[in-house]
Amino acid sequence: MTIHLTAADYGAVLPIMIVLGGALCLLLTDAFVKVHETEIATGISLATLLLAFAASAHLWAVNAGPAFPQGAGAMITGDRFGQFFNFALLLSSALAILIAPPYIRTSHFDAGEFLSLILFATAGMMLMAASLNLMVIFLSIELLSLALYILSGFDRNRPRSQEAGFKYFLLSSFASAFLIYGMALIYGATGSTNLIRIVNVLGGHAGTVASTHTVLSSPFVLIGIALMAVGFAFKLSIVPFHMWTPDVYQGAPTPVTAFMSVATKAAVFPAFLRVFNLALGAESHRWFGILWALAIVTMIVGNVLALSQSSMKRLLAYSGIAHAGYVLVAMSANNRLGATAVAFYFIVYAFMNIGAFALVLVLESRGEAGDEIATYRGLFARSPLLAVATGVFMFSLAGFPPTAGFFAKYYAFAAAVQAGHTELAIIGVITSVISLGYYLRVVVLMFMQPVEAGAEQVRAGPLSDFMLTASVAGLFVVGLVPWFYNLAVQAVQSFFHFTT
Amino acid sequence: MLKEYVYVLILFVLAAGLTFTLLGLTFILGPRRPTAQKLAPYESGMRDIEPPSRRFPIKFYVVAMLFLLFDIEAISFFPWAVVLRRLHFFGFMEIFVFVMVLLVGYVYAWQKGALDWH
Repeated sequence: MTIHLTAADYGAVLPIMIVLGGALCLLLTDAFVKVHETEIATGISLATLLLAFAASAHLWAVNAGPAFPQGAGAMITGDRFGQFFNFALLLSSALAILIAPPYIRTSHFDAGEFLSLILFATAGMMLMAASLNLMVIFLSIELLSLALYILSGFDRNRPRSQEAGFKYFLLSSFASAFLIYGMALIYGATGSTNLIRIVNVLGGHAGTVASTHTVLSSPFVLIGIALMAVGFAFKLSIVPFHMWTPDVYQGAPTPVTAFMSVATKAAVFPAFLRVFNLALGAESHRWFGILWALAIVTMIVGNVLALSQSSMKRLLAYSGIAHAGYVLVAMSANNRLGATAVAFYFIVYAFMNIGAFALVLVLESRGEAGDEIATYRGLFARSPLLAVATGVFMFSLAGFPPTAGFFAKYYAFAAAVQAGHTELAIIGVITSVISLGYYLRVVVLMFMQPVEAGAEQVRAGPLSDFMLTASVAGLFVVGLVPWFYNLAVQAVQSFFHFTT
Repeated sequence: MLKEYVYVLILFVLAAGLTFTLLGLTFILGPRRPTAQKLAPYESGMRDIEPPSRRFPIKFYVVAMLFLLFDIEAISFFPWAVVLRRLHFFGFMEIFVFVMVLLVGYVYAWQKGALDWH
């Protein structure tokens, strides 16, 4: 049983290893560096992310062909589909870290400890996006969750943060139990935890002939699908497994909320796609109904409940629930366009959603109640950049052209229509109209209300200014330049290739 | 196939035997001079019944937590040791990396003062 690892194997894990190495470096930084800790730790983490991005881009260039160099028994893959989500994950991690330093200083966090946990979570997420085995998916979901539990409760002197950490821990570990139980049943039915072997047993997506293995069939696969759907849906805050989302998002330190609101979903969705659209592709008649219902309920509940929020973080939490619903529409279409739409969505979502949290974060770092939407009154007079940027993010989240948010939503609904489920697209569009009610309320407050007398000017700081400008530019560039969408198309080619 | 599990059974018997022997010997041979204080439920200087209105330091929890962590890491060595012969140099390098990662955690805990009592 000698183990032979080839260069391709090491290549596939290299980006993840870089991020883990950076996280360990940060721990040592925290232990030994006493002056300028925040600056040094931020520098190290951004450099790490850049290096991992380069490694991931290299992997993208090398793996032009079909998915895996390692063969069918592989645990993880370095295919383009995984790399594309790595880009989204590294991007959202970098954006969150760019705006974090002022908050870290005002809250007296240990910068090295805080940022290393974010990197550990990122590594877990990258592993999840690359996994080809149910066990690796479970392992990586635990790795990312463990870091996120600690991060949610990181502001340990604030009861809200403690509550967030504890609530997230209890509910999430309960959901993990559902996930692993579902995986066990799928393993029992198919005899393997490897996604490719499961495809071979159950029959492929593109109508490949199921092999002669006897599938210990119906009830096990069905119950396994249902339980795994619960486990994934919890992490993606899909209704009715969304209850934790507003509380945790509101209680957690704002940089953590910004990070986890995008990155967790960008990590779980690729694994969700690999398991459902790829491994269980032949069983789509069974899981489609489940996802169809979840998508509809999620879009409606998320958008309607967001209307009555007075806290920005809770509003964005419900908005995040609604967006998970839109992505679920694309995923349940179960076609090439749908997978492309999911991939494309997260590049866009990273820019607009983390950007939307930047406003809360900048105000909170100044000691203001930045979470209260009422305090945004006349913000344009206090900080034009912050107000304009937040306005763009709100329009993009609502899905206005020519921002990228429109195109992300368009592809998601187009996939549903292509798959013959026009009703999903119609409900998506109607709920998007409802969402204008809360996104535009923020815009109206910022631009059309007079500023209170004596309100100070707001300066965000160079890194945050850079992050805001880059996100706004990113939203227009990603939307208008077709290169990014083509990138997503290429990523999905590797994903669907290996079923045939 | 079942024969392989005999070793596990032997391990169980040995572990149980050792436990009972040691506890039994202590019970038989150990001197016992009970006082009221020694028989109190918590023989650690704390009064038994007291309104829990104030905060009290629990210094040992960090030590206990670190012990748990490193103890669990140590258990990971056992399955590795069983197959080391077949894993050759690869296995050695893997455990080397594992120990290095562990070492970072150790240095971190040390530097942060988790091992100081005060």
